[in-house]
Amino acid sequence: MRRTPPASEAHEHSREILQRYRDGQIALAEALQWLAGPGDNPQGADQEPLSRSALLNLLAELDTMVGLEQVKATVREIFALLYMQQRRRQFQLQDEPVVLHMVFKGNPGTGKTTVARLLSKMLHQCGWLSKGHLVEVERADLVGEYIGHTAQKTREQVKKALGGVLFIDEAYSLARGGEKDFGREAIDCLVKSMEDYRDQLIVIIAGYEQEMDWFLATNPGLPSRFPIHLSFPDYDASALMAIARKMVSERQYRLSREAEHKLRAHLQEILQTHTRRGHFSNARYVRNTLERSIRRQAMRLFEETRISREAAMTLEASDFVWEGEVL
Amino acid sequence: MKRALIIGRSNVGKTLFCIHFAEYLGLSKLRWRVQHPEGQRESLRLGVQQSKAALTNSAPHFTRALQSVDIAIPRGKLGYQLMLTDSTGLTDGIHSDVSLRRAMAQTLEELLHADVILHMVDAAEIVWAPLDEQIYAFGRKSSGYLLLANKIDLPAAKRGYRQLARRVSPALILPVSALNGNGFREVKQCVWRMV
Repeated sequence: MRRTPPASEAHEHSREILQRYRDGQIALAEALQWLAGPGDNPQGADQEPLSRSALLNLLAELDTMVGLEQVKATVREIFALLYMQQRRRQFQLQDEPVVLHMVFKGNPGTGKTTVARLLSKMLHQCGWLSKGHLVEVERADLVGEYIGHTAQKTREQVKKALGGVLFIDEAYSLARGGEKDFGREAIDCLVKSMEDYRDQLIVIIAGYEQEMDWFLATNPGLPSRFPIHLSFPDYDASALMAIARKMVSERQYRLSREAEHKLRAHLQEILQTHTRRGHFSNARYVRNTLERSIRRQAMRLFEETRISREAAMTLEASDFVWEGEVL
Repeated sequence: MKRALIIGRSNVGKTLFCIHFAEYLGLSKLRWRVQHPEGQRESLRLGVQQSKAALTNSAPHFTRALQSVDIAIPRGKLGYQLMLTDSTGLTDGIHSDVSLRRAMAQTLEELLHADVILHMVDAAEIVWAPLDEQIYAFGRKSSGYLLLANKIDLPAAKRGYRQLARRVSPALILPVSALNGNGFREVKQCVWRMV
């Protein structure tokens, strides 16, 4: 599925090897050997067949995310397909090149970037992407200032993303400027690159549901080029609470019972008053709230000379205060 | 500007060769451009004797930076410029000294960009380490590679040279003495041909 790396990639590869030598991770002879044979993957990940249990391990990480049932199901489909392709190859059957460009639709804070990041990592681990990094860009990174500049900039970003995922946030803004806008040029260039490097690159465009639908409708070639559409629904209060619990435990904190109550009541209230689409930043709001309460807890405990481990971990109800914050 | 890199294990005589070779090519004042692994650069103007006193030593790993001398090659109307670079000696394994490791990584990086690789081994010592094998394997892939069997003036070196000649293709190997200047004419011809 992979080609021999182009010159720039080989250069990158050798720099990585030198860095690893500098850090004392590999011996000099090894470094030289790898430098001598560019493309010799040190892990030998190319040939290693993808096993079912390894796949299930990868998917387990995705399953820890709260909600997003449709997304999880689709990702399962993708991985099943990749696995099946490999098994078909063992029987010398024809395998279609898999095109995995995706559209992520959803309101802010519904996990689009997180899922994209996770996906790129998973696809790297199962050997589909050679590097598995995520390049996050927006309109300003793609669109240039003068004629001809746009294609150059776009191509540069695509080059940077080769072997990984190019994640275009608020992609609809590329088509917003009207007929003479340079955003069109960026789209055309992108479409071409997607075809050219379809086995080295995954392009994910993300944005609000309605805007993305409109964006796909503006260019007749676009919908067919993004075969996978994922919708990220808004979270309800209990899902947000589950997210909050997960976030605090990741940071080695805990919510006291009163704090949990207070947070739940607050989230429910917010969800009721702000039902209008796009005005509530879902999980990001939860994260910001928690981070602020962690700061307040630090202030509260700052005065005390002696604290227990328990106290250092617990966020009390008094740490949660909402006044004039952004949703 | 063509780049020639002298590479090899530590204490095989890379710096001395560089100085004497430059002298042989007619330079009396050497302008060293020193590039440290941390990124600083300095420029030194030293005579041949001064260079020897300042840059060479019998202790291993005396050189810890890339030291380059520009040499003009008379050819055609304009001539060429050759940048002869002396590098940090390499040791196998993971060296415990971080700064030395940086210096060696710098050498390897230069190796990737060099047009001519002058791989130097000490013919009087145990000659062929695994590291040399690796450098040889790397050099074989590039167009300009030359193996210099140094210290040929020492009595033990004759046997070492014969061993080397059995090991690698004889077309790629030249016996030299960095101290006395033996074999410099051949080196010059080969390098000129390659650049």
